[in-house]
Amino acid sequence: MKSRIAELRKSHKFSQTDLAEAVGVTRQTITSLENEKYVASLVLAYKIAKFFNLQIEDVFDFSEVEEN
Amino acid sequence: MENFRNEMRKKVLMYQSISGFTGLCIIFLAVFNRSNPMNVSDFSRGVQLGIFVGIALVTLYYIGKLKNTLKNEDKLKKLYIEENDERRRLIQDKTGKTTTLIVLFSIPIAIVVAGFYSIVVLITLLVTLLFLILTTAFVKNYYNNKY
Repeated sequence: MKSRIAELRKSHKFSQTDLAEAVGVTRQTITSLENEKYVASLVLAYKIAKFFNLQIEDVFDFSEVEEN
Repeated sequence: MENFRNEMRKKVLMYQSISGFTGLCIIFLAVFNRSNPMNVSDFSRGVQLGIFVGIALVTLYYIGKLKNTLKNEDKLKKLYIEENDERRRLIQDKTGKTTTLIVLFSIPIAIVVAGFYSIVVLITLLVTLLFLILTTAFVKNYYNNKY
Protein backbone atom coordinates (compact mmCIF):
# COMPACT_ATOMS: atom_id res chain seq x y z
CA MET A 1 0.00 0.00 0.00
CA LYS A 2 1.28 3.43 -0.92
CA SER A 3 1.77 5.90 1.89
CA ARG A 4 3.24 9.31 2.62
CA ILE A 5 5.19 8.10 5.66
CA ALA A 6 8.66 8.74 4.20
CA GLU A 7 7.62 12.17 2.88
CA LEU A 8 6.00 13.24 6.16
CA ARG A 9 8.85 11.84 8.23
CA LYS A 10 11.46 13.70 6.20
CA SER A 11 9.49 16.95 6.23
CA HIS A 12 9.24 16.74 10.03
CA LYS A 13 12.95 15.77 10.19
CA PHE A 14 12.36 12.51 12.04
CA SER A 15 14.48 9.42 11.54
CA GLN A 16 12.93 6.00 11.00
CA THR A 17 14.08 5.08 14.52
CA ASP A 18 12.29 8.13 16.02
CA LEU A 19 9.04 7.21 14.31
CA ALA A 20 9.44 3.51 15.15
CA GLU A 21 9.98 4.26 18.85
CA ALA A 22 7.04 6.68 18.91
CA VAL A 23 4.57 4.16 17.47
CA GLY A 24 6.05 1.09 19.19
CA VAL A 25 7.39 -0.94 16.28
CA THR A 26 10.85 -1.83 15.01
CA ARG A 27 12.72 0.36 12.51
CA GLN A 28 12.46 -2.50 9.98
CA THR A 29 8.67 -2.21 10.08
CA ILE A 30 8.86 1.48 9.19
CA THR A 31 11.28 0.63 6.35
CA SER A 32 8.89 -2.03 5.03
CA LEU A 33 5.95 0.39 5.21
CA GLU A 34 7.89 3.06 3.34
CA ASN A 35 8.96 0.52 0.71
CA GLU A 36 5.35 -0.70 0.33
CA LYS A 37 6.36 -4.23 1.32
CA TYR A 38 4.08 -4.36 4.33
CA VAL A 39 0.56 -3.08 5.01
CA ALA A 40 0.06 -1.58 8.46
CA SER A 41 -2.68 -2.82 10.77
CA LEU A 42 -5.50 -0.44 11.61
CA VAL A 43 -3.98 0.26 15.04
CA LEU A 44 -0.53 1.01 13.61
CA ALA A 45 -2.00 3.17 10.84
CA TYR A 46 -3.91 5.10 13.49
CA LYS A 47 -0.78 5.57 15.62
CA ILE A 48 1.25 6.80 12.64
CA ALA A 49 -1.48 9.20 11.52
CA LYS A 50 -1.84 10.48 15.09
CA PHE A 51 1.92 10.96 15.32
CA PHE A 52 1.76 13.37 12.35
CA ASN A 53 -1.53 14.92 13.57
CA LEU A 54 -3.33 13.71 10.45
CA GLN A 55 -6.22 11.44 9.49
CA ILE A 56 -5.38 7.86 8.39
CA GLU A 57 -6.49 8.57 4.81
CA ASP A 58 -4.10 11.55 4.70
CA VAL A 59 -1.16 9.23 5.35
CA PHE A 60 -2.19 6.04 3.56
CA ASP A 61 -3.44 5.76 -0.03
CA PHE A 62 -6.59 3.65 -0.11
CA SER A 63 -7.27 4.08 -3.84
CA GLU A 64 -6.16 0.47 -4.58
CA VAL A 65 -8.53 -0.85 -1.92
CA GLU A 66 -11.42 1.19 -3.32
CA GLU A 67 -10.74 -0.15 -6.85
CA ASN A 68 -10.95 -3.74 -5.58
CA MET B 1 5.37 -1.80 30.76
CA GLU B 2 4.84 -3.24 34.25
CA ASN B 3 2.62 -5.98 32.77
CA PHE B 4 5.36 -6.83 30.29
CA ARG B 5 7.94 -6.90 33.09
CA ASN B 6 5.76 -9.38 35.02
CA GLU B 7 5.31 -11.42 31.85
CA MET B 8 9.09 -11.60 31.44
CA ARG B 9 9.51 -12.60 35.09
CA LYS B 10 7.04 -15.44 34.49
CA LYS B 11 9.03 -16.41 31.42
CA VAL B 12 12.23 -16.55 33.50
CA LEU B 13 10.42 -18.81 36.00
CA MET B 14 9.22 -21.03 33.15
CA TYR B 15 12.76 -21.32 31.74
CA GLN B 16 14.09 -22.08 35.22
CA SER B 17 11.50 -24.86 35.60
CA ILE B 18 12.42 -26.31 32.21
CA SER B 19 16.10 -26.07 33.05
CA GLY B 20 15.53 -27.81 36.40
CA PHE B 21 13.44 -30.51 34.74
CA THR B 22 16.10 -31.20 32.10
CA GLY B 23 18.70 -31.35 34.90
CA LEU B 24 16.59 -34.02 36.61
CA CYS B 25 16.25 -35.87 33.30
CA ILE B 26 20.04 -35.87 32.87
CA ILE B 27 20.49 -37.31 36.39
CA PHE B 28 17.73 -39.87 35.77
CA LEU B 29 19.39 -40.91 32.49
CA ALA B 30 22.77 -41.26 34.15
CA VAL B 31 21.34 -43.42 36.96
CA PHE B 32 19.23 -45.48 34.54
CA ASN B 33 22.13 -46.09 32.16
CA ARG B 34 24.43 -47.06 35.02
CA SER B 35 21.96 -49.62 36.38
CA ASN B 36 21.15 -50.97 32.87
CA PRO B 37 24.50 -50.73 31.03
CA MET B 38 23.56 -53.11 28.19
CA ASN B 39 20.06 -51.75 27.59
CA VAL B 40 20.78 -48.83 25.24
CA SER B 41 23.50 -48.29 22.64
CA ASP B 42 26.20 -45.67 23.16
CA PHE B 43 24.85 -43.66 20.24
CA SER B 44 21.32 -43.54 21.73
CA ARG B 45 22.72 -42.51 25.10
CA GLY B 46 24.69 -39.75 23.44
CA VAL B 47 21.62 -38.47 21.58
CA GLN B 48 19.45 -38.61 24.72
CA LEU B 49 22.03 -36.78 26.80
CA GLY B 50 22.71 -34.31 23.96
CA ILE B 51 19.02 -33.38 23.69
CA PHE B 52 18.69 -32.65 27.40
CA VAL B 53 22.01 -30.82 27.65
CA GLY B 54 21.03 -28.79 24.57
CA ILE B 55 17.66 -27.80 26.08
CA ALA B 56 19.34 -26.94 29.42
CA LEU B 57 21.96 -24.76 27.71
CA VAL B 58 19.36 -22.91 25.60
CA THR B 59 17.14 -22.24 28.62
CA LEU B 60 20.15 -21.10 30.69
CA TYR B 61 21.11 -18.69 27.89
CA TYR B 62 17.59 -17.21 27.82
CA ILE B 63 17.44 -16.99 31.64
CA GLY B 64 20.67 -14.95 31.61
CA LYS B 65 19.51 -12.79 28.72
CA LEU B 66 16.10 -12.06 30.26
CA LYS B 67 17.50 -11.37 33.74
CA ASN B 68 19.96 -8.94 32.21
CA THR B 69 17.13 -7.27 30.24
CA LEU B 70 14.94 -6.97 33.34
CA LYS B 71 17.65 -4.91 35.04
CA ASN B 72 17.86 -2.38 32.23
CA GLU B 73 14.84 -0.18 31.36
CA ASP B 74 16.06 0.65 27.82
CA LYS B 75 16.70 -2.98 26.98
CA LEU B 76 13.29 -3.92 28.38
CA LYS B 77 11.58 -1.31 26.20
CA LYS B 78 13.50 -2.56 23.16
CA LEU B 79 12.47 -6.13 23.94
CA TYR B 80 8.85 -5.03 24.39
CA ILE B 81 8.86 -3.44 20.94
CA GLU B 82 10.53 -6.51 19.40
CA GLU B 83 8.06 -8.90 21.03
CA ASN B 84 5.03 -6.84 20.03
CA ASP B 85 6.11 -5.68 16.58
CA GLU B 86 3.25 -6.59 14.22
CA ARG B 87 5.46 -7.22 11.17
CA ARG B 88 7.64 -9.57 13.20
CA ARG B 89 4.52 -11.41 14.39
CA LEU B 90 3.28 -11.72 10.81
CA ILE B 91 6.66 -13.15 9.79
CA GLN B 92 6.49 -15.66 12.66
CA ASP B 93 2.94 -16.70 11.66
CA LYS B 94 3.88 -17.10 8.01
CA THR B 95 7.08 -18.99 8.91
CA GLY B 96 5.09 -21.43 11.05
CA LYS B 97 2.45 -21.93 8.37
CA THR B 98 4.97 -22.44 5.55
CA THR B 99 7.15 -24.76 7.63
CA THR B 100 4.15 -26.92 8.58
CA LEU B 101 3.09 -27.16 4.94
CA ILE B 102 6.60 -28.15 3.77
CA VAL B 103 6.87 -30.78 6.52
CA LEU B 104 3.34 -32.08 5.78
CA PHE B 105 4.26 -32.61 2.12
CA SER B 106 7.79 -33.91 2.77
CA ILE B 107 6.90 -36.64 5.26
CA PRO B 108 4.60 -38.59 2.84
CA ILE B 109 7.43 -38.57 0.27
CA ALA B 110 9.84 -39.81 2.95
CA ILE B 111 7.31 -42.53 3.90
CA VAL B 112 7.17 -43.79 0.32
CA VAL B 113 10.99 -43.82 0.06
CA ALA B 114 11.37 -45.47 3.50
CA GLY B 115 8.95 -48.22 2.40
CA PHE B 116 11.68 -49.58 0.09
CA TYR B 117 14.24 -49.87 2.88
CA SER B 118 12.84 -50.19 6.40
CA ILE B 119 9.41 -50.92 7.85
CA VAL B 120 10.50 -49.46 11.22
CA VAL B 121 11.35 -46.10 9.65
CA LEU B 122 8.12 -46.22 7.62
CA ILE B 123 5.97 -46.75 10.72
CA THR B 124 7.90 -44.09 12.66
CA LEU B 125 7.32 -41.55 9.87
CA LEU B 126 3.67 -42.59 9.58
CA VAL B 127 3.15 -42.01 13.31
CA THR B 128 4.99 -38.67 13.03
CA LEU B 129 2.72 -37.61 10.17
CA LEU B 130 -0.38 -38.66 12.10
CA PHE B 131 0.83 -36.75 15.15
CA LEU B 132 1.52 -33.67 13.03
CA ILE B 133 -1.93 -33.79 11.39
CA LEU B 134 -3.67 -34.27 14.76
CA THR B 135 -1.66 -31.45 16.37
CA THR B 136 -2.40 -29.10 13.45
CA ALA B 137 -6.13 -29.95 13.66
CA PHE B 138 -6.14 -29.44 17.43
CA VAL B 139 -4.34 -26.08 17.24
CA LYS B 140 -6.59 -24.92 14.38
CA ASN B 141 -9.66 -25.85 16.37
CA TYR B 142 -8.29 -24.02 19.41
CA TYR B 143 -7.77 -20.78 17.46
CA ASN B 144 -11.15 -21.18 15.70
CA ASN B 145 -12.80 -21.19 19.09
CA LYS B 146 -10.58 -18.45 20.50
CA TYR B 147 -11.20 -15.89 17.73
